[in-house]
Order: sequence, then structure tokens, then C-alpha cells
Amino acid sequence: MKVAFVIPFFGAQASGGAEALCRDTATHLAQSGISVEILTTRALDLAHGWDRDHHPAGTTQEDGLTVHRFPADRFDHDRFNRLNSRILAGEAVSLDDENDFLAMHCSSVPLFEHLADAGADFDWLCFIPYLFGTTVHGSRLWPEKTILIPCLHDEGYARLRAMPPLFQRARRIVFNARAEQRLCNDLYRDLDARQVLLGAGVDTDLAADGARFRRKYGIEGPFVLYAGRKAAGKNVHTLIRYFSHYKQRTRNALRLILIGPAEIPIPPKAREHILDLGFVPRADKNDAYSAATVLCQPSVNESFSIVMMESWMSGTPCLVNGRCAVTREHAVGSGGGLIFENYADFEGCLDYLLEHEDMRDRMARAGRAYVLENCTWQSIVARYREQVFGA
Amino acid sequence: MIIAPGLWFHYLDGPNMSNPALERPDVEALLAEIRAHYAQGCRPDEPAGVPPPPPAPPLPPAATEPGTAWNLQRALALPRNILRRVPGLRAAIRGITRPPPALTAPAPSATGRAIEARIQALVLKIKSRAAEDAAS
Repeated sequence: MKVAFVIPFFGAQASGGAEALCRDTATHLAQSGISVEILTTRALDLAHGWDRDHHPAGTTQEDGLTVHRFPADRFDHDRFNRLNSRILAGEAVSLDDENDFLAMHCSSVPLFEHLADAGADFDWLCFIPYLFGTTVHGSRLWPEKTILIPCLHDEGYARLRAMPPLFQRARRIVFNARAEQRLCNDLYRDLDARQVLLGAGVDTDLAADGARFRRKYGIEGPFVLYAGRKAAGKNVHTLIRYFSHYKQRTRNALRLILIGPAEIPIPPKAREHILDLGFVPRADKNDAYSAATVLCQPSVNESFSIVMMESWMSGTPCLVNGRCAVTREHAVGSGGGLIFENYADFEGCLDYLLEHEDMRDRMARAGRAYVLENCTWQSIVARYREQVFGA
Repeated sequence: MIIAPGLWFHYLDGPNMSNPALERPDVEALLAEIRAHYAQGCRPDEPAGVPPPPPAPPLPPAATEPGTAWNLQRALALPRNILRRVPGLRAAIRGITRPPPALTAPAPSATGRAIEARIQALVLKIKSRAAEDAAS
């Protein structure tokens, strides 16, 4: 069997949940004996923009995968930013504006030309995630072979006119979580695709060492960890605001540590309590989970949240935003974390977790059991073979 | 709609634990306890102050390169959104900081109509090739 993954950004340094999901899934499928190729752009990742060439064009071998990189089309940044702001704000835009937006949102004509020529050689073409030109336009070339891994969020992009046809022409749709599948079926009608609720694989043999993290970064005392991109869409500003307020009201030694790409302003008064370590190597991230008292996932736009699974595998419970159906489902379903919907919940849950070490341990164990039950690569690969690629 | 049977999320369908010795915490009951505690007179309000900023659009790289209005705004620590709030400021900064024009022609820009025409041409190419294969 021969399969291609089509994704805007690909590589060991590419930040982002869909990028990590694609890379790990493709690698494990290749290790199981499936021939896997990657079609992507030369860009590094979303945070660095898609018309800045980072990787050389051409074909390379990376971790057993054949990776083809093509230049992304150049575009008018001012026009893109204007349209993007309007779409994210839920404003209606004209059909011409929408088409221009999607053309500018990481399209690559050279990639489409390659796909048109080489698509016949593949059994399946997996497009991930839903909102970029590589998926919206690329999936039109070989609809009978199209598998969509949307990583769908409830956001303005999901309501563009181009989205119902995208989901309708796919032959398979792979979901990371039940809440994501529900959202898809609420938004789009007449879906003929086989829908597969698959989840995502997680490395279950994380060698996490909390003491090593504390030594390396000189960190003492209990801390809340945020791991991920520090973008407004991830709601990390709310976590900073809540934690700053928490420190004004309490006298404990708890700190907030942020790891991940991008920068975010931290209020001057809170700087002694909040530490931004920036992007850290993967091994350090695993160690950070283990050292943390609790992982906080404040985002309301998650289609899976792999950081929650990694945190549980490292022995740390989670505190999640109850307004995100997916992370709420994980927390309630596993028993591996608490939920906040407002500041009062946030403060109450943090205090409770700080004061109840036994419950922290129970939650972390329950989360770990949930991951082992649902997210091992062995089971994910088997379900891909049977339920996604199978007849 | 076809939904493939899956094993995913056993826990959501009931107490179907793989390890019966593990007592899974009841998160919603715990949260209710915590909320009840705060309802007894010490419930804090939402933090006062400026509401959180709306989600910002991702900024493509050209907007963050040295010399652009956005970058100058950051370098001078000007208030957030000032470029949008002060009419003409962005253009004025651009006039000061714009780099000299490139000597080479810019790459063609992506537009909806151009991509649409290209995709339609590629679809036709795929179909005609399939028809040729079927005929031969």
C-alpha cells in the first residue's frame, strides 16, 4: 500500500499539533510496512509564515519517509491579514474574497501539479488539517482517494463556503475526538465519507525526569506548566491573566512556567511568578511535564490536545478549560484532570490540587490508564489499516 | 453517514475500566465540591482590568521583518492596536521604513481565480489521462 500525507508544514522543527500528529502518524505507518510519502511546502511552520522558504525544494528521506517540498505561492500580506481578521471575527465575506483568502492561505501550485501527476500512484491521499489551501484545493484533484484528517475547530474558518464541499467530497474523515466529530456533523450535511473516530497516537515510553528539568533550568518549588504555542488562539493570555490575579490573592510559592514557541507579554507585576522558557527540546518538554504540579490547557480550540496525554504519561494531572468540548471530554472521561470555566473555578481547582497530593497522583494514574487504553501507536496503526485504509 | 465501529473512548461509555483496581476520580463531582466551597462566601470575581485581547490573526513573515510598521510598533513599545486606531499611522511608518524596491520582479501572487483556473486545468488533465488509459 502506498499513501501520501499532504500538509502545509512538515519537519522535526515544525511546531503545531497537526504537524506533530502528521509526522508521528506517518512515521508509525511507515514502520508498519506501508509506503508513506509527504507532500508539503518549504516553510518551517505556521508561526514563521508560509512564504518564507526554510527547507530546500526537492525530495529528501526523513525518518523512513520520502518528503517532497514545494514553494508556497506568494501573496499580498495586507490583504490576507484584513480578510483573516474578518473571517476569524465571524464576519461575512464575499465569495471572491473567500476564494482569494483560501488561495493565499498556504497554496502551492507546484505541489498541486506534482499531485496531479503522481496521485495515480497512491492508494490514498491524506490531507491534514482542513483550513489550508493545500487541503482545500489539493483534495479536489483525486477525490476518490481523499482522506481528510481535519483537526476541526469551532472557528470562523470552519464556516467558509468552501468547507461543506471539502468534507462532502472526502471518502474518509478521521477524527481525533468525539466532540470534533459532533462539531463536523453539526456544521456539514450530506457527508458520504466513512467517519472514523480514531484519536491519535502517543509515545507511551516517555523517559521523563522532573529533577533533571529543575536542575537544568534552576527551578524550585511547585509550578503550573503551559506547553504549546503562545498564540492568542490558544487562550494563553487568559491563563496569564488568571494566574497573575491568583498570585495577587494567594501567598503560596506556586509559579507558572511557559514552554513553546512565540512570545507573549507578561504583566510586569507578575514577572516574578511567571517564567517563559521559550521553545525547549522535546526531551526537556517531557521532563517539564514530570516536574510540574499540574499541566494547564487553557485553549478552547483543540481537536485532540496531545500535551494532555503526554502530561499523564509523565505522571502529572491536567487542568483544562471547560469551554473546550474536546479537552473537557478527555478530563471527564479519564478522570485525569479538573476543569475551569471562570476565575473562581481556576483558583479553586489550583488550590485543591495543591492541597491534595493523593488526588493528583490518582488523577495522573487515571489519565495514564486512559492513554494506554486508547492512544498506543500499535492500536492506532491497526485501526488505520482496518478502518481507514480498509475496504 | 457511516460510522466505523471503534474502541475509542471506552471510558465515556461507562465504567469500563481496564484495571478495576484503579478508582477513577469523578471529575464533575469534584468540581461541584470545589464550587460549593466557593459558594460559601469566598467566591472570587473575574479579574478586573482590561479584557483579554481578541484572537489576533497569524502574522505572515513579511509583516514581522525589520523595517515594517508592525515591527517598529513593537520596538517602540507602542500600545497594542495603535496601527489600527490611528488613521494613516501605518502608511506613515511605511513611508519612513520601506526598503528600496527589489531589483527582481516579485513572485506572482496567489488569487482565488488564478488557483481556480489552475485546479480546473489539472482536474481536466487527470480526467483526460484516465480516459486515454481506459481507451488503450
